[in-house]
Amino acid sequence: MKQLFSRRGMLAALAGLVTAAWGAVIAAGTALFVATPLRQAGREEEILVGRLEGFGPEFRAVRLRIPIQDGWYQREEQRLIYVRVPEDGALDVLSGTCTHLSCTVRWNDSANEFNCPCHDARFAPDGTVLGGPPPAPLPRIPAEVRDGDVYVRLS
Amino acid sequence: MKEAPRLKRWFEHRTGAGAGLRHFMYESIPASTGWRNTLGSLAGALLLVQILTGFLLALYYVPHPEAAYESIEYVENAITLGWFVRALHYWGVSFIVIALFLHMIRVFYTGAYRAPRELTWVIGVLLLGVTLALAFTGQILPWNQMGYWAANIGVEIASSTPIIGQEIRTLMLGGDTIGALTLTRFYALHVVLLPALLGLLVLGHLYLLRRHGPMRTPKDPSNATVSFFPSQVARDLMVITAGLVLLGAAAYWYGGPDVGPLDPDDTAFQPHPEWYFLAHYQLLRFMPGPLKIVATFVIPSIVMFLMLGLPWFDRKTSAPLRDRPVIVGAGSFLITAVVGLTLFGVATLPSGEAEPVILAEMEAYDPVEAGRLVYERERCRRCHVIGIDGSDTGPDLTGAGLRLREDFLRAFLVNPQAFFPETEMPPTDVPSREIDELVAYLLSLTGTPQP
Repeated sequence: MKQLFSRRGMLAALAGLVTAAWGAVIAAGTALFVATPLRQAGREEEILVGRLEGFGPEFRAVRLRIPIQDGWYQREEQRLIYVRVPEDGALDVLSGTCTHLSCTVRWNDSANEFNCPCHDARFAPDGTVLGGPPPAPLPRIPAEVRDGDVYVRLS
Repeated sequence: MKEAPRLKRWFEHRTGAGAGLRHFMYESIPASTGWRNTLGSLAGALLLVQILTGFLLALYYVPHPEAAYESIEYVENAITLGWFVRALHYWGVSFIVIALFLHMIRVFYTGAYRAPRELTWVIGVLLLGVTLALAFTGQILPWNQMGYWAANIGVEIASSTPIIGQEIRTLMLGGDTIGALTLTRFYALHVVLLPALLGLLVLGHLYLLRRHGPMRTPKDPSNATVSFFPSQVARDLMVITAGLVLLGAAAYWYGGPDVGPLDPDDTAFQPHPEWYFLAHYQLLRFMPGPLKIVATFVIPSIVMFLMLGLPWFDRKTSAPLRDRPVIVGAGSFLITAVVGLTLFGVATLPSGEAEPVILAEMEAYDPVEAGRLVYERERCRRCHVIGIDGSDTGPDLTGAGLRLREDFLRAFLVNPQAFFPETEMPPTDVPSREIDELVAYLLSLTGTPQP
């Protein structure tokens, strides 16, 4: 009768199995360690922008300094937003971060549009794409006014 | 024959090093091997320069957002030859990319990637990938304007990967944005994982090269061989010497990159990548809207697939160009496209600074509130009381803003013992900006309840 496993073949398979098991344990531990940031979900934050009467129908750039906990390190994250209050009074807050590759867009007063320096993208005052490669309009940032102070909600 | 000295014999018996070296040097190679076969050695020598200069820079470099730029400045300004070491490491990348590019072009047009050297080619493509990954992870380490924006754009590109894009982004950054955790991640990759990987791949590449030897050119039907030493060794050394002299000259004349420290406040800065990433950067310009993923993911994936699979797409046994028109045509198109886009990118690089964004005067930043956070974090309340909050071990700070002057506070916080040698108050060891904030907070304390 032919043997299903030779003694040598069995031992070789066992050695392979032990090595593979160690490999799997080490790989799983490494993956869990490295992937820690994935389990620390981003949170929403409400930031005070300034007094409502400081804004008019023209876009004004406001730099937000958002205190964040960066692992063990406390620092400020900076975000540029554009704020205006058109004649109808509804607050208009746009992100200043280009939707293509995250460069900072600039308001171009003479052309009445936003320009991105990286790939010459152009956005209309309402955020829609006028030209260039961005795949999406500049996002509108939810904002509200309380006691005359403008707050934005960032995620 | 004269007998070798005893020590030499002892060493040879224990290690076999002399026989190994002779075996290596007298390896027979096709007689037609020549100058075109020296580019790989050049890349290898340049790699050794990167390893040495990288080690020297690592003696001083600190991967911390508040220290990285200054530690590099220190190497530049205070260490003998520091500026030169940094410049060599910086220019070395460009030289390696050029050497690898020329090396691959040679292998491609001579058809040296075909059987039995398929895996030598595959490892070579992986080596190019690891080299570019090293260039990418190294860029952010000086924590300057260029590196910050290059990393930003690179991470955005990677995050457009379908399905797992956001996870890749978070894993690369170590969080939601570029920060302290991003810096240590890139540092660990740049100095530990990627160099180790590169070393293993180089060993594999060299092993396979020795196993199959350099390819005999189609124009050399003979079986004539020569030994590696001395002719090819001489050619290799001459090309390496020329390359290193050029590298030294570039580093000497141009120095390291002269870019200001990372300053997200500076809206006049025009971000653009290093020249070897420009071809891809320009490609992004031509893929608007929903086509973005074509430039960020589809084309790079296809190019990688084609390059890795090249030896299996071209199974012709004869190497002359006219025998493989499709492969040569496609490859030439790709090479032309990369060179063309790079030249176009260099020609259209924005020069100088843009008009800065004019910021509204109001800012969300409130130094008093920031100072309150510093006060909390530094646990000042363990010894001081404000109103009824805290401990009265040290002086009561209620109404401190009415009693204390700004310049006194600023100096006192940093070095209390200079004013009162007996005081138990420890120096406030925080960045100067936080001292400013702490002072602003203390001055705001007027004895009335805080809102």
